[in-house]
Amino acid sequence: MKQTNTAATARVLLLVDAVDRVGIRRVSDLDLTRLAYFVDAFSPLWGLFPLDRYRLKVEEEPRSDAVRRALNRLVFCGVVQPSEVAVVDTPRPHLSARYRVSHERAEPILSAVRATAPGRREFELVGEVVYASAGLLDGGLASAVQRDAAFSDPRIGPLDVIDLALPHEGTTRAAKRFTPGTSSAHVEAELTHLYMAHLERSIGHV
Amino acid sequence: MTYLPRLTRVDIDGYEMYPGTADARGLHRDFDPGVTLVVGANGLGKTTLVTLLRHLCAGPARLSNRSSGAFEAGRLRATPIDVDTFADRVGDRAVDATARLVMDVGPRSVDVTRSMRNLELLNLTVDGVEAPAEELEFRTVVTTAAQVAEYADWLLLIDYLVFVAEDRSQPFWDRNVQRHLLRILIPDRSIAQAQAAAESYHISADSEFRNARAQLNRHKRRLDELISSAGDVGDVNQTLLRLGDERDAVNARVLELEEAHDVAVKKRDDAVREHEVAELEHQMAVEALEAARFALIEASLPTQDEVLRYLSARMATDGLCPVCGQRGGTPIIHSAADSCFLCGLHLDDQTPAATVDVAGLENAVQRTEAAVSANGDRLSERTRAVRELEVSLASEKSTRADLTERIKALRARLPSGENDVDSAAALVADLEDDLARLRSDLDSSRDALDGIIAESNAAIRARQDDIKRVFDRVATMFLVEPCHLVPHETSIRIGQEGARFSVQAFDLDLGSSTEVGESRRDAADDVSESQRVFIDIAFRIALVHSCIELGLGSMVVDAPEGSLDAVFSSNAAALLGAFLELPNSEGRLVLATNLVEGSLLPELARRAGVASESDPRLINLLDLAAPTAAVTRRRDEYRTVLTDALLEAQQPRRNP
Repeated sequence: MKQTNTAATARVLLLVDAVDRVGIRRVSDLDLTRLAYFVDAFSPLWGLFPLDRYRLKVEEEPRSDAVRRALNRLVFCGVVQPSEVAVVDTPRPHLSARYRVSHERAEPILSAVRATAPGRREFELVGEVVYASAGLLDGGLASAVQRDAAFSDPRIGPLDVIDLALPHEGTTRAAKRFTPGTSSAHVEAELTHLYMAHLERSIGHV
Repeated sequence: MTYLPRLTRVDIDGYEMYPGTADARGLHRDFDPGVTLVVGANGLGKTTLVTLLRHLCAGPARLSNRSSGAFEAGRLRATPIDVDTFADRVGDRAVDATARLVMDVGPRSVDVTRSMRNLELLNLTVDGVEAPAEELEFRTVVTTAAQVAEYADWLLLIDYLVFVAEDRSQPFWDRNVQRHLLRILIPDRSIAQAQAAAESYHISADSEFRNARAQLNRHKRRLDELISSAGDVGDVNQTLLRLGDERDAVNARVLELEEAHDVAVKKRDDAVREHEVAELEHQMAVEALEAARFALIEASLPTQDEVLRYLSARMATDGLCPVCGQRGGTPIIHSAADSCFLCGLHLDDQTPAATVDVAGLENAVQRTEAAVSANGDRLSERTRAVRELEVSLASEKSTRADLTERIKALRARLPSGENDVDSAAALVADLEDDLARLRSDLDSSRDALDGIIAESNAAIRARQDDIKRVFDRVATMFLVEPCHLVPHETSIRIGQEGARFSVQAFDLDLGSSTEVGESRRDAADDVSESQRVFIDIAFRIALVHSCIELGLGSMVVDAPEGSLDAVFSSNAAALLGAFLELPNSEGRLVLATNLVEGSLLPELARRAGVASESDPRLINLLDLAAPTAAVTRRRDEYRTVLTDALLEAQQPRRNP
């Protein structure tokens, strides 16, 4: 449990840091949960373990107590500083705020994350997911989650929501589903962007 | 451990060959620890006495594994012996003659009396308590006391470890005898029993398979003949014969493919296991790295004290600058881990940074990942090989089924008088099914036996250094050449179908007997007759000293005095004496020898401590046995030889 909490804390810090770096002004805790969902969904593609294997699959969208608890912890410790906090009523009551990372307090944690190869990869994954999802953070992320790979299909396990195969096996074939006519191989980051762009198109967001 | 018999007393009454003396009829003697000498001339019953002692120890049975000189592989089998042996040698057919032997077998004292007319068991007493005088009881008593698995094992110990006679195979030079001795003496009883049972089962399966195959071939020939003689039915018979041949060829290919498939499946299964181990190791490396990663992150999170200091600062300032009093600025909070939040001075009580060998853990992940990949490739390759064989096998089986159907259809076209052909064909088909099942049983029994022999080999290897050490020392008492026991694994065949097993055995490395040139000798034919006998005795002594409980036992030797020259007689006596060295100083050595000139008799008498003809360690058949014509005429000459030998035995040794 302690390891899970630690991992969730680091993951949410990476998300908030990425949101801050990308320049997104404010983000709701629901969107952070959705982003965390996509990070988990892409993890097997990046050769990482999904953090929250038992994320609730409900009809409307994923919920995660771990994300909320981690955000609270980071705020409580002064690592993440919220401002412009507002309560949003739909689709259910939740908080929206501008979250800023206190770099002085966060740096030891980010350094620890980047100290290992899997940590550096996670750092990169979270950044790419946030970049790729940036266009959806104005309200489209909820639809994208629902559109994603039969999210609400109870027959599909959490680890199988996205299966783009491993980068060295069939990556090209997987990518061709989104970019017909392309013959070159794609790396994980490209596939992440391609897939999010595919979701964006499929919900009519662009 | 296993026990050998220790002979303690013999009593022979009423047997014409041993009338005894006027004072004491018959032959009665205690075997004390040390040497007992049996001396006599040709025909006085020296070998008869040794044979009688053997039968009293073993019972009226022998091993039937020897045929035309060679000792057959396979399970030991006991078979009755000719019970008239002793009756045939005397005029009265030994009607009233009895022989009694008292022997210690491990913790038991066994007292056995038999009729010399037909070796019938007359009395059996164990530890002073009379037991039923039945052969089965005798076998149970000796087998249990010696702690061997079965009666045949006891016979092997008696004939190939205790009694040394020229007419028997010598265990060192006979691989199969050596293998059985090692099986009985070294591994624990449960392994020895399991091995005996597995060998028996394998040989039965082997025999059953061969019988079934012979029966099948016989019926196939009959079927062919029936088809040939079925008369003129166009070219149907011809076609049936051709198709039958084709099906036989396909059957042969199916058998080959099934064997290759079994081997491939075994290899694939090995690869699966290796792959699973590699994956497990990789998983453990990944988890170790994950644990280290989270430990690093956990250590980097603010501690409770830091959080409290941070919150205190927040509460103290509440967003209101204590200097200018304005709200909305950023409070100056020194939140670095090693400094005070307010004044920024260095703090001493810091939690030590987590020290983790990240590079080592990452290397382990990479290394195990590479191993998983390599094992995965091997597994894929072997899985592919299995699949290819399965495809070939399915194809051949399909061809066989087609042929069977075509044969069936053609037979249906034969006239009604062809019923014999149909029933013969059905029988052949049934026998083919039986043969396939028996082949599978045979394969299973081979695998089981292979596993048990591997356990047995490991137990023998654990003891082989002791055996070699004793042998190397004892053998050089007789031989002048360097002589060493060489432990090694050798392949033997058990059953007649060709299944081979790797068993632990001992060979010999003997230097050249001449000083000209260098050559090594290691086979029975490479050494002289006397060397062959005494190397074998040295091996027996090594086994007794290394593998018998407390090294205790008896050895009864019908001495091969004829093949020894003057020098080697002394060496032979030294080697035989080694049997009684520690740890077998309480053992009994019974030596039977002819009254011949030379140094063997004096040497043996010297080692036995026999100083006079009345010594109880001397069984003098010149006095105790019925004289032959030669002895009657030349008794004085024989007695002189004995007297001189005993006198010489008291002189200092000429060739120390």
